[in-house]
Amino acid sequence: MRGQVILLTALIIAMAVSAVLILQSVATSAPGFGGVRAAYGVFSRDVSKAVEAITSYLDYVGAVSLINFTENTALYALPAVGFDVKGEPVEYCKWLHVNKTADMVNASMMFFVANRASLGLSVELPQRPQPAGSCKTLEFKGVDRTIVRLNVTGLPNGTLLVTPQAENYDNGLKRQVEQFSLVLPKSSVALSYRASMVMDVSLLALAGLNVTREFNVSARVDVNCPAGGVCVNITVSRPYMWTAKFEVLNRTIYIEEGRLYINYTLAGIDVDLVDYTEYSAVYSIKPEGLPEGRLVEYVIKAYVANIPIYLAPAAAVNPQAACQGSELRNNGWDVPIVLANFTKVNILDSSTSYRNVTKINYNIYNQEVTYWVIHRNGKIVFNSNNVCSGDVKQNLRNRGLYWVYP
Amino acid sequence: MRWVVELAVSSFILVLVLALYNYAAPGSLAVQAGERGRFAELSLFAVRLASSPEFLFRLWQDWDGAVQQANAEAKSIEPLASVNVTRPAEGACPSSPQAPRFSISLATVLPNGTTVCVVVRA
Repeated sequence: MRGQVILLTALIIAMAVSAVLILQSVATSAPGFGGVRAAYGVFSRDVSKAVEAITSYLDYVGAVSLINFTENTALYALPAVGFDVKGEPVEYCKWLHVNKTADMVNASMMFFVANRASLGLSVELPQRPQPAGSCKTLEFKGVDRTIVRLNVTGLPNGTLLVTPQAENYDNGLKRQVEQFSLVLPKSSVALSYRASMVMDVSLLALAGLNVTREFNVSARVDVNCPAGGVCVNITVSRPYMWTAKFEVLNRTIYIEEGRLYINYTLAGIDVDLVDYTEYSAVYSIKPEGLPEGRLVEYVIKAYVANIPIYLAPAAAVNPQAACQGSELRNNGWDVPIVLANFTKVNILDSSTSYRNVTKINYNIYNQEVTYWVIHRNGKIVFNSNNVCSGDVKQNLRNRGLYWVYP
Repeated sequence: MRWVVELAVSSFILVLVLALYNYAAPGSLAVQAGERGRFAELSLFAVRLASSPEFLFRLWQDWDGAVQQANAEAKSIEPLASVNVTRPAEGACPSSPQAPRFSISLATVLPNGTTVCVVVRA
């Protein structure tokens, strides 16, 4: 009896002392002095704050991934669009725009990895997609629970900023091109992201918390514009969470110190809001201070909720009307006509008869691709008359020359 | 049985002394109870800052303005708080608390893929 009482008393004392010490150490552990859970303010058991922080960042992952997808697709569009037109999805999916986007998705997910300790999170990283099928919808999947899906219809929309070898042909004159930019947008674009994640916020005893964020944007150029300029119609899936900003890139060709530059410059514009609802808006864009005809091959770059979208004027290019006799003409359209050949073709006539055409040589995986860009009012000449009869695009393809754009 | 009573009373006094000491010590639960509310708010503010698209986009385009605004907002929670945004040193965000009362650092990623640390101190 006596021994048991002594033991029990000693036990009570030990428990009391260790309880005080444990409480002290928990309370003073990092981050802050409130312990790990203080990062969410969770002593108040307000779980919604933790969920709010996580969903907010997940939204960010979707947004920055989509921005990188559209900008990278724009930057590396010309080679990518060549593979796409030729029907090589595997090459298309290995191209830089997909790789760079995958890098950005991984980089943005580092938030969850780096703060694993301080936020008490467990999360798996999504993996880059296998190059199969079309990469126009990118889906990054974790082992079974994390998905970041990016979807853009209207791809590829974009530009090639630097070209190693380019030549310009104009009425028998051949000039080396020092710098060349090209934007190949469509008149309507739809894009969306959906980021979904199941995570364990272990210290909150929240296991299997499923968080999903999605956002859709669609933009199109509207010809029926009441104000007389170009109208852009924007629809988004979440109300009031966005603003739109516009730039107009105007084709500029100039010679500086004997070198030819084919670039875009920013045109001064007037932007008016024609219509606005909580989910959509119509903007009217008018060139400022220069006559309408000064805008050549222009491209509207809209930023909707920070996401860049490239749009072209709704020009209806008719291959049948462009191809007359043995000539392919750009009949004053505001978009260039782009052709590509992957092997040597012998249906093109001597370059001395071309007008306003730029030839770009590009090496991809030791495969040489040549792009022919027919600018406004330019023409390219074939050595055969029967290209233009029937389906022009099919006729060109049969002879190894691919119609890339529009 | 007198020794049992002595032992119980003396242990009670010992625990009481320990508890009273801890109650008054700067790191004690009771002292923190007052601070905890503000620290919880500050740490939540840090988490929200590091996970907010608005802040990260603004930081990307206008670094100084975004940091200044974040500092102003932190000071409305706790007058002595400050916000720093730094590059990680040798691949890690500063982990040792360099402020006497409170410090939290969270890693986050800018829209161009750069990793930065959001550090809130008080």
